This record gives sequence, C-alpha cells and structure tokens, in this order.
Amino acid sequence: MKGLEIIFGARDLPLLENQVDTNSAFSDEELLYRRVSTSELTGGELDPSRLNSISFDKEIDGAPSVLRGRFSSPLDAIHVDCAGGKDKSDCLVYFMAVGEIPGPLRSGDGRDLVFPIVHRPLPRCGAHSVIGCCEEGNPEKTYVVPSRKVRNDLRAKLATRLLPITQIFDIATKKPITPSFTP
Amino acid sequence: MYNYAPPPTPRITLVEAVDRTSARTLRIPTFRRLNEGWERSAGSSEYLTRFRIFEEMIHELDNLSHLTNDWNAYGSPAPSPNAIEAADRILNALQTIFLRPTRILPSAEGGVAITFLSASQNRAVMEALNNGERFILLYDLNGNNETIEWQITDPSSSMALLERLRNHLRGSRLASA
Repeated sequence: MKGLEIIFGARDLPLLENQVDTNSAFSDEELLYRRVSTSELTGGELDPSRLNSISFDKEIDGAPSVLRGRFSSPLDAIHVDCAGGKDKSDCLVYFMAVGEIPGPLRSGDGRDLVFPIVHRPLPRCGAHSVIGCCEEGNPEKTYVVPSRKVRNDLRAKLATRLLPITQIFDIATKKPITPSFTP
Repeated sequence: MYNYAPPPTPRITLVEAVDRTSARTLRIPTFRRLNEGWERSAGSSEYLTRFRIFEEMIHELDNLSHLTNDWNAYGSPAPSPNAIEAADRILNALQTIFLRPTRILPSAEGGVAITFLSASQNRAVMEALNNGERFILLYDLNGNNETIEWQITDPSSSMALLERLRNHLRGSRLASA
C-alpha cells in the first residue's frame, strides 16, 4: 500500500532509509525514475551523448542510480534529499520499467552480462537503487565492472528506452495520467 | 647679428589634437562601409565560417575546465586537463575535414564528450576520458551501436575513423544488436 500512497501524492518528502523494505522484490512492471538535466537534451531527445551520467565504478555503489517506483514518486528524483543535497528542481524526470532494462549483453571476452536492479537505500532517500552488473546465471549476482563495449552498448540502449515522465504522470496534480484512448 | 635663441617650438593645443582626430573620425562612414563589406565577405567565406564555428566550440570546451567534481549530483568527476587537451586535438582534427559536432559536454565518467546528431537515425559521440580512454560510439535510435577505440596520436588511422564517422552520420547502417 505504501507504493500506492506515493503514486497518488499523499506525501511530499522522499521516504527515508528506515521506511522502506529492501527485501521487496522488483517486478518487471515496477517503474524506475532518473533525473536528467535539461542541458543533456537536444530537442527533447535523450541519447547516450545527452545521458552523460550513466557510469560504473569499481564498487556497486558507483553504478548508475535510479529510484524504484515502489517507494518513490517521480518528483522524488529531483528532490534535494535524493540529489546529494543539491537543488536539482530544474531537472526533468525520465522513467523506464524494470523489464525494459537491456541485457544480456555480450562482452569482448564472450561473457554475457545482465543488469539487475539493486535496492541501495540512502539515509534520506529510501528508494535509491543502482543498475548493477553481473554475469548471466551467476546465482550470487556478484557485481562485475562491465567493459567499455558493454557500457556503451548499455548506454545506447538505455537512451532509447528512457522516456519523459510526462507521458504517464501529470506534474501539476501529481497523479498518473489515465490514457484516454486504447492503443 | 646671429640669433642663438632656439627656434620656437610649435605648441600643440588640445583643440588642435581634437581637430586632427576629428579629421580622421570624419571618415567613419567610410570605415563602416569597409567593415560591413568585410563582414559580408566573412559571412560568405566558408573558411571564416568554419573558423568561427570551431572557435565557439573551443570556447565551450574551455568552459568545461571550470566544472567541479560532482557537477551533475551523480558523483561525476570534472574533466581533467588531459581530457580537455585530447578533446581539443579531436576538435582540430574535425575542423580539418569540417565535420561539425553538435555539442561539447562533460562526460559522467570523467572527461569530455563530443556529440553528433544527423538528419538520419544515426548518432555518434566521441569521448576523451580522464583515465586516458578515447573512443567513438556510433549508434542509432534503435539501440544498435558500435564502439571504436581511437589512438589520437596516429594521424592515418584518425583520418580513416573520421571518414567512417562521417559515413555513419550520412546514414550508413550499423549491424543489428
């Protein structure tokens, strides 16, 4: 029920670390939110060259960040508590479903890598998660740093799958948009 | 009788100085006509147009040196002087064949990204990273992509890569992912 409260705008602050359940599994339909600076867009188009904030580090906490939709609203992505204390209210929010995360992607050494979402709450941003990386079929999902080829492949694919939140969410009313037509 | 007095020194008054300056400033309309003519010829000069475009790009590149770490609140490092210098060399190479980038941006992985859009679905980004990595990412809006490492110091392979980049932006297809 906590997720629904968030979607319908019952609260204004991001949930804290102690208000979320890290054991809650991700479904393929769960949405992920990520803020994008307007300077990273040209004509509204997001591509790897604009999405210049997808990076991986040696540790999993340096992997690309997203907010999991179960414990956040889209507007949390630009809240100061989820932006390292910086004012990012001028940023846009993009989204994608967990099931849309690309993979497996083949690295130069023939390994197939997948990108599971890992819930890594921060003290003031409980929904904070990262796009991890591990070898396909690894039961322990041990984090590995992807090669340049795989990183770029992931960036190029993510860029075409991330969409502006305004397609599904009304910023003014803080409510999801109900499609007025049947596709 | 000889007169040993020094010859009288002509006194230059302020009025004279202004007069002489005004005599020149009277020709301002002429100067303006000449200047406008130069501006027109500069506008039609492909060389000068290229020069100005890349001059602006180099200015944008210089601005990246003012960034601080965590500039995007996602923990990204600021571009290093080495990365900026490498990007400068890339810009010089691009200027040689007049392949005009769309934008110069900081890279989240630490470094500089030079981006290219095209009228087709093809896009590209060249990155010079702080860790010394240099590559071109060719991609399209369907998610197909190819990464090519680039040794900037090798002029012949650089030109071949730039030609490939140009062909890609003209619409040549990438292998499906």
